[in-house]
Amino acid sequence: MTDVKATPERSGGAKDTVTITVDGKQIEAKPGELLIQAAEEGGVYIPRFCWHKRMDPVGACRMCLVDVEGSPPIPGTQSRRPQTACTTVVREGMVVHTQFTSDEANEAQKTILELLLINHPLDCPICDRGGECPLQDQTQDYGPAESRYTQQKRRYVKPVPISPLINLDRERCILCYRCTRFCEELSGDVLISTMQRGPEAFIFPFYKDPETNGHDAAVRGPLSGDINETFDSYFSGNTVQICPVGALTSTGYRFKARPWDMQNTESVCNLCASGCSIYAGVRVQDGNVARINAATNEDTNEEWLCDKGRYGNEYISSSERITQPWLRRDDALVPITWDEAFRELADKLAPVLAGDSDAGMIVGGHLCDEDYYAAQKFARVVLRTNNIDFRTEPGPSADAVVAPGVTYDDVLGSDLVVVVGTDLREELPLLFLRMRIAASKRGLPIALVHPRAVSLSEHAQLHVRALPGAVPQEITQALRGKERPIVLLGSRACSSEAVAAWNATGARIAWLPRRAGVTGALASGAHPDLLPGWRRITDDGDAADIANAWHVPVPAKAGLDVPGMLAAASSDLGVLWLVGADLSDVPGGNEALDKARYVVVQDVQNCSAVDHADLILPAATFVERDGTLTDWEGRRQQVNAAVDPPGSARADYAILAEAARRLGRPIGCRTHVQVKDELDGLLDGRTSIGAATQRAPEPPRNSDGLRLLTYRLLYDDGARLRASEGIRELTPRPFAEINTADAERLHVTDGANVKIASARGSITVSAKVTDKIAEGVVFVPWSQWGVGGHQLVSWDDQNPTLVVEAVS
Amino acid sequence: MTDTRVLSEDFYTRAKQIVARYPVARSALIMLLHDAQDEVGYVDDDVIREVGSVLGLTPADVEGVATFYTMFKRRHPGKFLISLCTNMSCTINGADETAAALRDAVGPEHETTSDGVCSWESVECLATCHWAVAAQVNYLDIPYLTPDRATKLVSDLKAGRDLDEILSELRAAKSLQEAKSG
Amino acid sequence: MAEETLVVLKRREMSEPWSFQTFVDSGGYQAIRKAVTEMTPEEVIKLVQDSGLRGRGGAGMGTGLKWSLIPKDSPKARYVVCNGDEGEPGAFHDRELMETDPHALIEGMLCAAYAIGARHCFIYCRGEFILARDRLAKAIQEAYDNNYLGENIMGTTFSCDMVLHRGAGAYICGEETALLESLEGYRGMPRPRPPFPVTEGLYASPTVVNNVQSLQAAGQVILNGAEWYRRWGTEKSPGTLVCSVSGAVNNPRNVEVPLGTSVADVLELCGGVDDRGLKAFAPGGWSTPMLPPDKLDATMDYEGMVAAGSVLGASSIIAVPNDMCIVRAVWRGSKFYSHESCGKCTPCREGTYWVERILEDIEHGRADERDLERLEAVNNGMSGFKSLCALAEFAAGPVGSSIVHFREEYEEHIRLKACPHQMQAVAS
Ligand SMILES: Cc1cc2nc3c(=O)[nH]c(=O)nc-3n(C[C@H](O)[C@H](O)[C@H](O)COP(=O)(O)O)c2cc1C
Ligand code: SF4
Ligand code: FES
Repeated sequence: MTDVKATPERSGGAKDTVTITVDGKQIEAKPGELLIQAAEEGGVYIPRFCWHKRMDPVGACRMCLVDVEGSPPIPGTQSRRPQTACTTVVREGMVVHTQFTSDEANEAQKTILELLLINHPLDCPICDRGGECPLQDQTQDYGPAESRYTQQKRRYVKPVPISPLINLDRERCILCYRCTRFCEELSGDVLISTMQRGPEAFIFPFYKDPETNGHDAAVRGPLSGDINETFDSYFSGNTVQICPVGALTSTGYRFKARPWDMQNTESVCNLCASGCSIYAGVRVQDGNVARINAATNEDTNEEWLCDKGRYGNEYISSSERITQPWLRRDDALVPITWDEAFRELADKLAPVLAGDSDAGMIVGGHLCDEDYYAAQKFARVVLRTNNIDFRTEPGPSADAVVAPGVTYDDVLGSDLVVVVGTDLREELPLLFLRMRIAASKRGLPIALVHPRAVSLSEHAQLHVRALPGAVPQEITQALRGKERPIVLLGSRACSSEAVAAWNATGARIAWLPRRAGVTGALASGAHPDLLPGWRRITDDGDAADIANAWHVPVPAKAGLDVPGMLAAASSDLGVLWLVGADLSDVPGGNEALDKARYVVVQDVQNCSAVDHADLILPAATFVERDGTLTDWEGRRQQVNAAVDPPGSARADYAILAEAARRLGRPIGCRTHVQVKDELDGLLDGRTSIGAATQRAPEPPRNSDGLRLLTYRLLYDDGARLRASEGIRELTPRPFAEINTADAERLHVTDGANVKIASARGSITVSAKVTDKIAEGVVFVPWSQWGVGGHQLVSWDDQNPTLVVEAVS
Repeated sequence: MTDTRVLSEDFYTRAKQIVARYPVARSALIMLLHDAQDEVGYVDDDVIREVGSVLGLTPADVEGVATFYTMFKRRHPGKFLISLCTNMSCTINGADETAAALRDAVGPEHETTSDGVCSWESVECLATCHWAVAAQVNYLDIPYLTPDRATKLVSDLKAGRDLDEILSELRAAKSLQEAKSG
Repeated sequence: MAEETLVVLKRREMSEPWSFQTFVDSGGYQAIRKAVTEMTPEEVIKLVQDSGLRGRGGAGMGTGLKWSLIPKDSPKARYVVCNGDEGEPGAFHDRELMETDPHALIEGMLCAAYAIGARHCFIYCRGEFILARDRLAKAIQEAYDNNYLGENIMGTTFSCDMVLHRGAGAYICGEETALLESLEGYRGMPRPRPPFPVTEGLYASPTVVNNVQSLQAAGQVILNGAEWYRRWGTEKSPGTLVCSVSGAVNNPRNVEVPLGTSVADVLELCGGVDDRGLKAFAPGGWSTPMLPPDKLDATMDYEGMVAAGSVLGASSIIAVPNDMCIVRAVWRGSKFYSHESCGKCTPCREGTYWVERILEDIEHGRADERDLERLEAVNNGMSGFKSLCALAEFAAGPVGSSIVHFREEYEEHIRLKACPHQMQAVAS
């Protein structure tokens, strides 16, 4: 639907406000603004169902009818034609009477409400939306007590699971088109549409040919709901949240709780670095997180979430949670108390503390800032080592670190955004969504460097199909003369050479971490070569700052990075401590753990590392503790405890602080506020870091046969995600995407199996033959159902040369 | 890939030409659906997918459009689809009786005879009210479809008579009176 | 006794009037030649405005006025779209005009295109009209072949392309904004107005949407002048009008008469009401409020019909015979509206659904007095311009007017718990 756009230019006037009168009240409105919004901002709420301020108005539900002076008359009456406030653009001097002051408007709205209820099932007592349903509320406020109509209402099979995550109950639908407009205008995933027409119209995904499934759909009417394609969109959950009735409901939440049973805690999602504000809804009776909804935050997620953030949190209440410490004794894990755990630690760390042995810490990507800070301080102050790292996947070396500073607003207001080496929809879904909206609604100029046609390709003005690392001339040229150019570097495009080359274009650069904690990890110094506050360990002044703050010297010896620690785990490292780090699909991870001398696993739930653990420490999830999270922009936002941790689990920073105290080398802060304050002091004003060395980057060559491209899809084998059944069902099977010409040469056919081998290993997956990927490149997702690119790469070669063979 | 398509190479060639006529490709959607339906007989799942792929539209999008318009059939009608106008002028002049005759001769609306030859539907005003009771066979106009003429039409179609012949015979009548008196 | 006045139907009796040859032999393509070679676009618009020609699609807006509303300074492309989606119950004049005189439509559109500066024209032809499609397609080809379409038409700097587009079975696509949605490849659901198509129409660009007859008449006006056209009709409704006449008449057909001709005279031109006698008539297609026989002297023009309590609409008279049950007729009509409602807006989607159901109950003797009240309530609810487009008004018209004029027939159904006409039919 391409309806009225509330663009400012429509009104034309140069004045920056127009004055209108609503129910006798003078309201200053913005030129081009819609009456419904202007009135609301001025304190007069006009009821509505279809209108949503982030989408173009459709004027469909007609609930917002008001009386506007000067409208044409209704022939044969004294009245004027009512107008929909949601499609009426304010005009200077406009005089409006709403339901509060006009009998006609009031009557019109009542009529609409009654008509809406005519076919509505009124099954409120069993409806998930009951208690927070605009239709219910309006009926209570204005509506008739009972329906005057006795004839047969529309009937549909109810509910239809239109995806593993979402149910659709068509009887309740009032056809406001919010869901379909969301998909069409905002997410771009047109996977549900209005089907049929008139009173028989309904919202549905692509459904099965009635010829083959025996339904009588040529005659309009209820279909049983056999579908061809599920509503498989990363953003589908938003449609549930904006549905004004209970037509779309979340499978996971269905019948779990009623709105009035729920306590909502505002927090931040920690499943990626987008920094989305959320409400964690906790059912008071059992203290379980019943649902996650988007909270409104104009700076970050507006009011949207991706489905991973919304539905990917079932691990929190899963049976796989670790709820107490465990110790491996004679090859079996036995439950122990915290006290025993700390004594065990003291025992095992004694040689380390004595300086006779070394230790290392690998931290995961989903921790809070305070956890990273506590961990690196623990490493440096207690273990006296710089062996701490979060980079279980490609991440920047100290000379390639770009301190954050670019914001959503900067990106959306740029005159050219270059996105290098990242598939944003898979990595930062909300940044993708907001850029997509800006591109499709306002033509935000975008250029891409990526070998595949990825999520933003259809909106890109320029797309250079090169492997990460390349700095194509077309793009650097396009950046010339731009006033607000921005380059967004994906996590795989952050070599120091690339950073230097992009820096040279004069554009502002942002580095896009995929995981929620990474910016915090960098800022906190959870990196062998970095200290808190973006300080470099090799900089004497920086090191002295920290030593002064801590009253302890910073260890001088260079620290090991993740591959370094994995290699040393069987030799130099007496203890390898994993804090929320899952190494199951990290190259060499399982092998290293297998041979490691002693492994501490500190985590929220069972993961493959547990099989190798000597000591297990139970950690709290992000909804069970307070803290801060720093998103890709560098924006630090508050994470709030919504529930208590299960069993004796504790926040990561608290475990580390307590361990330090027990080990006799306290890290000086125990509560999250203390940790935060200390970190704040060291971060103060420090957001920049020296420019990277200026070297021409070496673009990876495609000429020597096929090269691998691999990265994580949004739905992958992530340990936490595995607990969310719906998402699991939607998780793609492993595949290899290969260019048509390459496929032809290698006799690979679409859908058939191919064997893909690198120097490190080989896998067999099904082939997707397409022109959407550059010639000479084969894309294999990092890790899907146990198989993926992680089996082919090595630490120093993320784009290995491949041998591809058709498998018969 | 090409071998699994249900639409012919010709379709894809024509589709290119049709799309080229419009300033915006999507405008060609209805024309392409007509064209594809003419080839396949109805808009089946594959037609939806393939037409969508020509224009870069999702199947749900295309299905939403296809099911809005009554001429697009999601089920295979008979080889001959009889559309009987039952709107006002035709009702005034006996459309209900003709509908009953078709029900007897063909079966319930939208169902196809077992030989696959015929199906019928009642439709809205065909803009041939002066020919009431108005009808069409495969969208070719028929004037004055009295019950007797409807019955004969069905048996002629089932007997495999030439459609042009049947039509010119039916069109020979110059008024409802004449058609009624045979 | 009134006479037919053939202006837009002037070629109807010629042999093969649809052929290029017949068309040019009878003065075809002289209007566009005159416009392009002798007139500025502004002069063309002014001439059409002076003629007083009003749109024949239903709303009766001045055709020249509409053309003049195309913004002069818009940098966007402009479009001319012909509304050939005729679907109003009882209307069949546009179909005849497209089938018999396709070149006249092309010429009218060319004049409009020249007047507003459009490079592209679209004919939205109703999907079920196969003959019209074929004749239009052939005519367009002939016009291209003879340089009346394409680049540098008639050797001038004026260039214009024309695309024939088909509908696919949706009455609502006759509504101009639904038509544009459909032409853009979407479900044919109306858009809120404003903005009107003249400022944001096809592809959000300035667009003139005109009815077939309006465009053909405009061609005649440009060729013969405003005064010539004003010889017919009334001051406010000048010119001639094609009326479709059907139902209980002896010789149902299209007749072209000056605006202002009485319904009685128009019926007379069609051989008069047949021997079933007249119970009521809809003057502008079923969507216009029906009138009782004592309104037969109402005149077929915009003002005359409003004065009589109806509207001119699609100028299509349906004569309802005495032996027709009014409830049955209105019920049948209500099925049409619920079937053809696009479903976008609440009053129409829910209202048409419920009206149909209540009428069905009344007709089948399943209703009580409260159902008649309910019927009126829903009907009032869906009317009064609460809906997005006029279809809901159209749907409410026959119901409301029939209750006004034939209330006792409704009450009789309720009293008898059956349809009196059916009872009679069974009895005889
Ligand atoms: C439900 C509905 C159906 C309509 N159907 C037609 C139609 O079939 N043909 C037509 O020309 N106008 C139809 N109209 C009127 C058009 O919206 C529009 O006013 C007309 O095409 C403008 O042309 P004109 O100015 O030449 O009359 C319809 C309007 C509505 C609300
Ligand atoms: S009035 Fe009816 S046809 Fe018009 S927009 Fe509303 S639902 Fe659609
Ligand atoms: S809110 Fe205005 S029509 Fe729905």
